[in-house]
Amino acid sequence: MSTYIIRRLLLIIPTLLLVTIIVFLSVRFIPGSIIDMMTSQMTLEALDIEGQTPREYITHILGLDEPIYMQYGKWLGHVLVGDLGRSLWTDRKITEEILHRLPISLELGILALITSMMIAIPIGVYSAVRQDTIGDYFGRSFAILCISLPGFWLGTMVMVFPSVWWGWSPPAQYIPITENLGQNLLQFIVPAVIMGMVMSGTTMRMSRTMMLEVLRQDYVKTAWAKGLKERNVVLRHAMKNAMIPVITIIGLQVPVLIGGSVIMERIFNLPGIGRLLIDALGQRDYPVISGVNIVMATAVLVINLVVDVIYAYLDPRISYH
Amino acid sequence: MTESTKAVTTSPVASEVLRKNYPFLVDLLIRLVKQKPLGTVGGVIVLVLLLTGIFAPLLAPHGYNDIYVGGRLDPPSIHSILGTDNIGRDMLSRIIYGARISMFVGLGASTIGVVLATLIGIFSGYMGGKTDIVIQRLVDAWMCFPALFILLTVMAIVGPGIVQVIVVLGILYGIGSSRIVRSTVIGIKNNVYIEAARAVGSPTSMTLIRHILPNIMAPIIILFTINMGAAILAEASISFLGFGIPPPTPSWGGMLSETRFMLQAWWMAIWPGLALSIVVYGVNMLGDALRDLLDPRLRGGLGRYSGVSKKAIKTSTRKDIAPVK
Amino acid sequence: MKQKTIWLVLSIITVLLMVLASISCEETTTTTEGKTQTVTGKVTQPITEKPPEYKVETTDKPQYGGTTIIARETDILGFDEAFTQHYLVDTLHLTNEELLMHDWTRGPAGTGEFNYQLGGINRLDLKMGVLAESWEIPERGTMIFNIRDGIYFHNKPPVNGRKLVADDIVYSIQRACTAPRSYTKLAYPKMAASVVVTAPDDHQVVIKCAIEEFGNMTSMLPDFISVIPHEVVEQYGDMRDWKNSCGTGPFMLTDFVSGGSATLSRNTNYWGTDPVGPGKGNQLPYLDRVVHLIMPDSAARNAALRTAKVDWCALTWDEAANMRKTNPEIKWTKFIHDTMYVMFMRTDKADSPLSNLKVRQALTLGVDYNTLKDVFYAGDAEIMCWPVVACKEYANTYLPLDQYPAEVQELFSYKPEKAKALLQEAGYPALKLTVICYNTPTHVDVLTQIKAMWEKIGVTLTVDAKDYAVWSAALGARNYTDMLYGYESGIGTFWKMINYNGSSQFNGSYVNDATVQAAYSEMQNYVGTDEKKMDEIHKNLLPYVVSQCWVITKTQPYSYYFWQPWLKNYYGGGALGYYNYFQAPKYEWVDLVMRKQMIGK
Repeated sequence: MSTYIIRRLLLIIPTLLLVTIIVFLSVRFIPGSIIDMMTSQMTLEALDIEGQTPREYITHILGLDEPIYMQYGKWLGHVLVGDLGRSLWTDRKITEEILHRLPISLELGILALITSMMIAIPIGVYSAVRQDTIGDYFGRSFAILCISLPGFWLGTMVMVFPSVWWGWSPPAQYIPITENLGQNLLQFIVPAVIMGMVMSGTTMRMSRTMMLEVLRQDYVKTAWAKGLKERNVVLRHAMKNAMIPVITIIGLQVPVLIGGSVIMERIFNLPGIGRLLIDALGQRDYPVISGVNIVMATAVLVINLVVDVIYAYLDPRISYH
Repeated sequence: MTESTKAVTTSPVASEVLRKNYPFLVDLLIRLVKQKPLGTVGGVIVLVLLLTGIFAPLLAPHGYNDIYVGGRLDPPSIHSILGTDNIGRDMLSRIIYGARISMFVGLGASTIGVVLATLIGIFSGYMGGKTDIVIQRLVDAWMCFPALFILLTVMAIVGPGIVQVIVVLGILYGIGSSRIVRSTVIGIKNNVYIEAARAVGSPTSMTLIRHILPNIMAPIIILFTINMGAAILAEASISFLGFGIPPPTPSWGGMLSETRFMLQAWWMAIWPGLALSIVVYGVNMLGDALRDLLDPRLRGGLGRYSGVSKKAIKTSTRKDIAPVK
Repeated sequence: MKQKTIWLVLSIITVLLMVLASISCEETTTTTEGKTQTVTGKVTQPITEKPPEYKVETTDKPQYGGTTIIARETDILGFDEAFTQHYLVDTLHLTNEELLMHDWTRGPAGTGEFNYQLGGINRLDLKMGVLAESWEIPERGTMIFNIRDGIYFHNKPPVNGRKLVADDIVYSIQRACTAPRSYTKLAYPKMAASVVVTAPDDHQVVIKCAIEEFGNMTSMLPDFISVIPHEVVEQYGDMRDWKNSCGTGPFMLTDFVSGGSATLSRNTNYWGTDPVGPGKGNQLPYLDRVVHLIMPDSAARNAALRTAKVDWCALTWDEAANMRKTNPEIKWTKFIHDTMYVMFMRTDKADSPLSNLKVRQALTLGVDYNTLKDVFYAGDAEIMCWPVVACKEYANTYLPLDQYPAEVQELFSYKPEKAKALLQEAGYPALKLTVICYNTPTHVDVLTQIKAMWEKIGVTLTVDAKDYAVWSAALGARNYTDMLYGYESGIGTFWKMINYNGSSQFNGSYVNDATVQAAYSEMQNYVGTDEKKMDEIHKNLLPYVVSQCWVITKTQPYSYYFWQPWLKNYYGGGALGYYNYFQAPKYEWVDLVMRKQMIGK
């Protein structure tokens, strides 16, 4: 077991390197470089500044005139000591920005995950136990409805209409959870519920599938035969084993947890990390893009490993290759 | 008894034994209509989407970019059934053409997705060994990126447009789904008849086509429908953010991004959202029903009476099952 | 097995064939398609209301305390002008001060001569001294400022509330002109290089520069450079971190959540008093706190304004129409923003049809401006907005449409037949043009309508909608082929004739005209010294400039500001200095009693 973990951990490093190199290179090939944007935004004319054109001058100041491999090398060196650099537009330290924004996305993601499990698992189990009854049909239809409703549509409707009809809107200002629990939760609950609904479909299907499979097992039939009450059979014997693959499903939804949801963050004013990434991409803020990317990639890889290990630990049938 | 292999997998009951041996898809369709009413509804919705998309120029009363066919922001009326938008374009026509966009994106991305997933899954799963490890690490690396990021980066490089969206979404889902295909392939690979085929000397390609491919049809069909729904929603989301299909092409998601008109024109808020919800709902219901029919672990059953359908119990002559009232 | 496979393959092929059949009729590029349509739509409720006149209520005694929350769309990009442009450092205008700002006593709180709504207002004849008590211009190329006594910095380390001296101003201006990333240095390198600023004693600052840069210097230095204490730079290297913010302004920066909000609290050490109105003589500021709330989504901003979660918000004209209906108690004002969009065209390429005046006139005649205004904008727009817009501060620089010569007025009426005839004369009966724009509906919708209008005169316009960064880069790169959708410069630069002369991106049409250059040379003799003469030269030049049709202007819709009724001593102003947005909280106060009555808290 430990060799497996160590091997996987070591394999994360080349994956990370590959990921960062791809991102580092690809964003610089996007048309509309940051130098063009800065020159245009500052409406700089082609007058010379200390003997250079504005473009040459800005390129040099931003450090973008060095060869790419040197830029990458320097960046990697700084990353290893924990310095992700500074944003090219705002000059703020990227490490600080990410540390401030990550908890917000995490909070949203965790609340969404909890909501989705609260919706999905009971419905999935119920659907499996009462297969092909009206209850099953309603349950499944509801779950599929949840994943079919576009989240951004729901979010926009929640913003636009209640403010006119009832004079209510979600809190607009982000307050950290340590300062004011009530206001913080009130702001997060609407986007979390919407996101949770959308995410619940996959989990619901998986729990239903696994419950059905488990219910056909011999040991369940034995439990029936012994005359045990349905609730005992379902909760004690069946569910425990059925939930194992559900953990994998949750693991698959980890990128959403880390990356947040850009749309929900935008509509509900949450300064999360998803928004940071997308804004930086739109503004060609290369260090921010690379910085956020490496943080997110590391998190996803590590959490995938953790989920795999838990899964293997719980299910004695799995042998790790 | 002259039971065909097909009849056995559909039902163990004697009364259905003498059913004809239909080809795979037709049989699937029949079972869908008979056993899964919700799935059939889903199938009908998907069919309506396809027909609307294909025959959009015939169905739509106006072009999708014909300005001022009515007034500005007209409510639904005889002249424009779903109302007009802020430059007088007919909402019904835009919704119909939007169906075409969703159809393209859904079908295109799913097709590319399953083809890619099959290729990667079969290659990686069948070959095994070092190739498998390398490919899986590459897939891992790919999965680290949030989907939106990849989409935006690629679209920024090649420029916005519908073909780019389809290709990028297809590749995204393809690589993501390849894991499932791979695990199915690995499951099949270990079967004895594969070894037997190899022992007899059939070339790898024949083994792949004859033995592996038909047996992974089930997960592929399921993946196709899942990815179709996901692709339609994903395209709507990125068009909503402004990064997807650019205006004036009527993408349902893009039509929902102009929130400033929604208070005075509720029809601009409702129709695209409703269309999206219904279509994705239909696709997913169809996918769900197909999965039920194709996944051998989920044979229909009533509650605890696993493996036996209600009808079968009623008409059965077996003595060991309690009669249903 | 074989049968099944064949069935499967056949079914897939059938579906794909159907799909492919519909592909062939579909355009998959970013360019537009659409049939010709007459723009005939009628609007049931045209919007023609003038903004209410807000008089100063003399019985309203200002109250101390309270918070004002401002909703803004974009993030606050920096706190140090040496790194981030003046236009983007919004909190700096409350935490730091400049030599001059617009005269508040001549604004709506006082005599009511001016509104101070536009950011680009920059006339010396309507300024008042802030850090300076008075100023004089003894000769072209020199400005002398007499510095006010009794001004103190914020009481926080490392400055600890010490008194302001002339050397601080000298330091700040020198830093602005020499710091490597300072906007002043990058955008005005010649001026920055030629500036010499000295302080003969503690209460006088003398700024000298080259005579040809005098116009730039008077507009860029006195009301543009925020004064910062040198101790901050010596200790921290710069003022980029919000925690190091320090100045002489009425508020102090006390919190910043990146992407979320910025909070400013009252500076108890502030030197200033209310100069006019019922609160004249009172210690400023009245407010306890000012909060900038970053809300990128417009639906969220509207909802927050409706439910009183924010006190001030800028809205578009259609959002404003909704807001006035649903919440008539919220106060509002409207004005035409001075940086509107126009279609630039390459008038410099000799072989291009766009260098031919007849072609340009035809294109202008072929746009139905009145229908755009009355139908698309429901009447809530103005046609004549280039090269300057109408506002109180520049009333003598602007010429309303009905005062132009008849031939020019005709250009803005809709005459498709004449346009077609002109195109025939010029030798271009069928013209193909491409315009590059940003792929947002606001751009594309307008261009779609223009495209439909031009189809009737035989011009085929292709709308090439690009990604934001690519379009933004195209603006600066100045190498587009036919036409480019870009924006004009703020009104304060009218004396540079920057929209139709010179090599900046605002002269997007590459205009190089002798008449303009003659007027430009004459103008430079009066810049900084005689504002009236500048206005006159400009106004006389306008008919010629507009008649040349160097750009296709856009009917510009009104911009709106909304604010809650309990926010007092605010009358719809935008910037109280040259691009000093959000400086109004310096004088605002909140009627806590009214607020409690209206929303219960």
